[in-house]
Amino acid sequence: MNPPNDNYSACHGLWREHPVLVQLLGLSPLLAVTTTLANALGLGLVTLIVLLGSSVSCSLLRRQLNGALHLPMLLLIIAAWVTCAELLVRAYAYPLAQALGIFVPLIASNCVILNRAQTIATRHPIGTAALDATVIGSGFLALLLIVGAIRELFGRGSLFADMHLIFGDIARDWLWQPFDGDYTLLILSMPAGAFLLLGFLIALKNFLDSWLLPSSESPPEKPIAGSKRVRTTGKIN
Amino acid sequence: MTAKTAPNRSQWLRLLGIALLIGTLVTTLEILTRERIVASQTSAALDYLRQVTGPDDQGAAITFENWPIPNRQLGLLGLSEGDEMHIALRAGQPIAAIVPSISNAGYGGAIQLLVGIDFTGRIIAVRVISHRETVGLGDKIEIAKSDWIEAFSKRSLSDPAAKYWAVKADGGIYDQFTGATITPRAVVNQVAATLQFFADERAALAARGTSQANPEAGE
Repeated sequence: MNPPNDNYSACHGLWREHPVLVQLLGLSPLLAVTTTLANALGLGLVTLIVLLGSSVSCSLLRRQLNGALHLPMLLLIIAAWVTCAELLVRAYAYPLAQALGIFVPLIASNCVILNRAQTIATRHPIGTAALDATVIGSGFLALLLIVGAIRELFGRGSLFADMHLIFGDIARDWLWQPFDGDYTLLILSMPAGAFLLLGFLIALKNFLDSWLLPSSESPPEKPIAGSKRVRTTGKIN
Repeated sequence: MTAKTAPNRSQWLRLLGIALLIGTLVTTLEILTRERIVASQTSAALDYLRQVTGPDDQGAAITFENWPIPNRQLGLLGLSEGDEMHIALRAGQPIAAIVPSISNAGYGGAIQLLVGIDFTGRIIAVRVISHRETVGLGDKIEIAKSDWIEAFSKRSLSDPAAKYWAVKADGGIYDQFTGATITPRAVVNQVAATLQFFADERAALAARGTSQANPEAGE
């Protein structure tokens, strides 16, 4: 149903155009919230849902979303989805809303979402937009989970703490503490440690890239048309 | 695309239309979820209240009422006008006051406490509602991280004497944490201030409880 080249570009969101590892978008939730796996999972899922919702609605309304005012319109749509998500999280998972705090409303400022709305959703039919949002959102969620798991395991010496915030009471005894009682590694619990960890993960990704696909078919996509500020960690001409 | 030109009237109308559509949808959802959110907040608050009033050993149901805090005391408690305390009542008689209290002497900003005090002036329990202290150091004031906060249980303004209501570094009886003295000092001082507040107001609160309970008993 979608042209193959659209499919092609969407799947790169998991690796070659990963929103965080390559485009360095959405760093503030990544650094602030991933102190535990449970927080990472909660925020990643809410972000995925918001991204999917806003991409689908932007795609549906794409004939209206052009011209000089397209940015405020996109921001309105994204903010609406974030508000709805926040209301629902507070209504049905209040302890999770308390644990994530300000970072649920701040999803509205996650540039990954605006970036996908602007570059993909408003230029493609709904199927492509939904696929792209799912892929990008999953890639973001996966990275949050990796960072969250590493920070929780080596920062606090536990894994699956607070999972009952998401899965309810059955998850209360999932907590796993492989190290002795008071083990903590303070730096990993703080945003600075998360930043260092992210740097190592980007380095690892770049190493795998140069090792697995030795420069045969790079460089990837062209930069976004009209964009004047593109920060990347990969090669984009 | 026309992104560079100034917006014309039809574009403004489209923006208005989208804003109205979204406003309607979000407002509808807000109305639909309002009741449930309030219920969730109340049950979370009640969980905290039960933690600071302790288990219900007498069998009679404990109810909670919100009572005003006199304006002259707001500064001592770090509160603002309109903030209320909770009174636990058993069979209409006040048995404990649960006083919100905020310290601004923390390392990372405000530390919000809930101090449960029975009507003899003894602390039942203290809980930290929210704080921004350093993860791994100052956050041992949370009951989830350490039982340090239980050191306040059964304490009162005269036990220990006023000069020992301090962390050990200041000559008092309460432990500080390795590498973090500011956080426990802020909590200890704020709990002491809350006890002082209760000592000042206890007579008035008890009188209000009696006058509230008696008309019901007479009917």
